[in-house]
Amino acid sequence: MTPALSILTSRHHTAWVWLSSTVLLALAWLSLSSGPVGWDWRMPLIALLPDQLTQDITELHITVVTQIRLPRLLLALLVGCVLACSGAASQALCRNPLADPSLMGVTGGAAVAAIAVIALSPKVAFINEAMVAPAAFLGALAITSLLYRIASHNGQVQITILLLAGVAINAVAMALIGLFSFFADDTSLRLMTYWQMGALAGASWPAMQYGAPLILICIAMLFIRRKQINALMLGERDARHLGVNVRRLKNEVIFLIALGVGGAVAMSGMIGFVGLLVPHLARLLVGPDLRRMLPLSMLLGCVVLLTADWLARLVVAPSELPIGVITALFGSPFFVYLLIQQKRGAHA
Amino acid sequence: MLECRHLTVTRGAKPVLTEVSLTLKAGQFIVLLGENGAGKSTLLSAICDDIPYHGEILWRGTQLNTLDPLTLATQRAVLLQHNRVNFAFNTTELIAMGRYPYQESTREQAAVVDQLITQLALEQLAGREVTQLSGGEFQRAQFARCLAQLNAHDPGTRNKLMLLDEPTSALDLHHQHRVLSAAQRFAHQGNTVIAVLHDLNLASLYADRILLLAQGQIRSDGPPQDVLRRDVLQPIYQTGMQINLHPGYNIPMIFSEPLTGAPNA
Repeated sequence: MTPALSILTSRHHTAWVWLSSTVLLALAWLSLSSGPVGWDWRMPLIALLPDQLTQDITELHITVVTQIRLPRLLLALLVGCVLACSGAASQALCRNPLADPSLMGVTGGAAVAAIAVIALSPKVAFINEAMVAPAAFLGALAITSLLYRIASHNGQVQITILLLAGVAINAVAMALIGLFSFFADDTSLRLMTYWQMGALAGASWPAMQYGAPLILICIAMLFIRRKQINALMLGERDARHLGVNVRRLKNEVIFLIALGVGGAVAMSGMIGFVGLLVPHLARLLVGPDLRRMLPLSMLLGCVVLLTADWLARLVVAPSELPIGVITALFGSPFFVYLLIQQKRGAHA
Repeated sequence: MLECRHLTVTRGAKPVLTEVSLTLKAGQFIVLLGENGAGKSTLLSAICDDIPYHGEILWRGTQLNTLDPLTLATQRAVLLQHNRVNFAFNTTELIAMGRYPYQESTREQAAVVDQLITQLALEQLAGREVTQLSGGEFQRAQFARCLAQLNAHDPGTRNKLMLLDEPTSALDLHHQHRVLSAAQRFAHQGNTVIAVLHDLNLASLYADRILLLAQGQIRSDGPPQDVLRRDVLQPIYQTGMQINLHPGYNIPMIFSEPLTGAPNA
């Protein structure tokens, strides 16, 4: 093998993909097998196992698995995957590993729009639950494009301005959410509180149909564009000289981030830090090239979200914590660590 | 090959480039010289399509900005100034990014990158992350990426356009020569290479043709011995200088003088 080839293929990408797939499979098994109704390892295989092995499983148990645990698992996978993808895309777009939709206020923008729909739906006739996902998408889109315009100058994104604008946008978002909850009735209020902290407990097959398409489109389209987005990490002018239509790509990426974050928020509320933490971990393992890093990020996003969900269910069982609390508890110290790293880098 | 017709660029109301017309042949290493703000980088940026301009730029008979971006990327590469990457690609990966416009396997990419790493003596940098490189090392890596983009590893490559904005600004003496020799060799294969330089003597050593800009216009245009003359340079740079011939190469060498005046003999 030539020296360059051995360097280009030296990141042990396949090994990490296999490892995280295995962990993911184990977690998925755990997530389908356990819950307040009881633990049963056979659950994921119920359709495959011979009858004499599954005779004692009750109808209730089966319903719990197919109607509660399975949609919840799929939701965790979709949300974990899309948060990791949109995080990686935001970082490439801003050319800075500290960018993250939740820190930038994109998640907040999506949540405000979604909560507005929830708060207004009992009062205004033409507003209904189906509008939550589109509203979250539009909220995210408005914030992403606004932020990008505020923070970029001559194709360079100022990360300080981006993060400060994120602080401001998050503050406005919190204020608006407070305002909506002030006027909301009790049912909406519960739903809103639960949204603000992020939770997967709302997962059901009907709820899935609104957000899942947005998420799947986002994941697929970002994946297709991974090579071009790679070039964007070199800088806008360099990417353009490599044949990338930068203006179009940037608009597409902004749109896709909004689509993904909007879909995720619509189905599971505000779950922060996954988009920051997961791509960072993936870059540490296989380097920044999105052709290797993006697939691994997707897997790790699922792993992180399933782990967080499992912890959320375990810590105060049989009740459960909002998953956003878990990701924020682990994610914010990590963000501080990254800031310190970046400071060291700047002084080196 | 490359033709600029009545090229005018304004920044606000101020003209930065005024009615520049020129024709650049393939097979020549062309150097742009001039004081700060003379319009060198602006001319280069216009040829890169990075800024709006009035007038026409024709590349092999076609308006440059009407060409398909991907096709153009296989014909034109640009080395920009002051550009750092915040992501820890290693040098080999960075150079391999020059192959993005081509549809090829990692193995094929690696073969190109290997040749360029040897050609530019980048072996020490190959496995290092670009975020850890010094300014000069990064500049060399980016130069290699531009060469990879234009198939410069292949001696049969012709009719490409390479634009270099101060490619030697961060380099030591040895690497200045290494980069400029590689650029010159690539030009002499039958390609057009345009470089902005500040070092008049390097320009004299490597350029086939020098364009001297001042106040947005071309003041002098020709081979080094025609342009690098005291009566041409002194009014532009407003610096005292002596010009002698290089004893080995018989080309003009500029000995500039400090503004404080003649030394005490």
